[in-house]
Amino acid sequence: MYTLNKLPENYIPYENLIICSNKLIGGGFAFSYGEGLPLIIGQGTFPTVWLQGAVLPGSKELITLIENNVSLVESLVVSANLEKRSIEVMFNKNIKIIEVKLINEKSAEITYLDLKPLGFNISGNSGELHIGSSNFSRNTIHGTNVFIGLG
Amino acid sequence: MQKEQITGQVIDIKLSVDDALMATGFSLTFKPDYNLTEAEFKDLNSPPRTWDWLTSGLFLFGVGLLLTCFSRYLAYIYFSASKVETYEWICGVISICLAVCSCVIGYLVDNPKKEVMNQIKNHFSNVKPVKQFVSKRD
Repeated sequence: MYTLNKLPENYIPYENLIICSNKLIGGGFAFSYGEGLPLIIGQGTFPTVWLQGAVLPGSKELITLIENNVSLVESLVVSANLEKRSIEVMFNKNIKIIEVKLINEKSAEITYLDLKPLGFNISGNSGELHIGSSNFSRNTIHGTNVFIGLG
Repeated sequence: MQKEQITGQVIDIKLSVDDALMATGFSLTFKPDYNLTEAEFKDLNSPPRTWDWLTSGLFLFGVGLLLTCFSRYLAYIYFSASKVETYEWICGVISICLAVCSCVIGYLVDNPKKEVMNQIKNHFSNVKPVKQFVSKRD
């Protein structure tokens, strides 16, 4: 389980990470859940994704589902799109759950998010981020390394 | 919780959302496989390290020498054959000592194969089968 104190070894943060129109400046993470970080996006030829899901509903223990763009479970597939310079994660072959686009070496953008298959009530597109009953759009996050704590 | 809309703000603290978890729908249970990388595979597939074959070679050679000495010693006692010289015993003992040395060195220097094997062993003993709850899709 990756946490703020135990990050993946080859993780290099983006200086700017746009999370469904919300701009996180200075390197950081979109979400935290308990101690854990469900979604980690790092630098690479393509954006590098680490994805963790809750072991049980209500438990704060996370299990790694995607490690360094490699899926560890059969139901998730990670694919790189050369043309769009993006990484896509599909659930059960036809449900897109994450799309991260490379903007430049230091910036990336999460342009699609639907973590419902993982039990998180989170969805979003390049215009807005929905979490539970809250919506976030075009905010600038600066000075904190986690945008939203999930409860 | 009431519906919140946060737009165009500058945020400098971690926000909390308390209805971010789904009620459960169906679930899938799985035990994650060990994610064997190519580098690790190469480590596992590599030939034995110098220290390992040197240890076993020297050890077996030493045991062979000592057995020869022992059999000649028996022959000397019961059949008055030629006496075993001290140096013959010493050869065997030296060989065994060298084997112990190379075994210790082998233990102290890097052993990628053993590290990978330990990681795999830990993975399978620590990682429990997991039930992943996922929400029902319409």
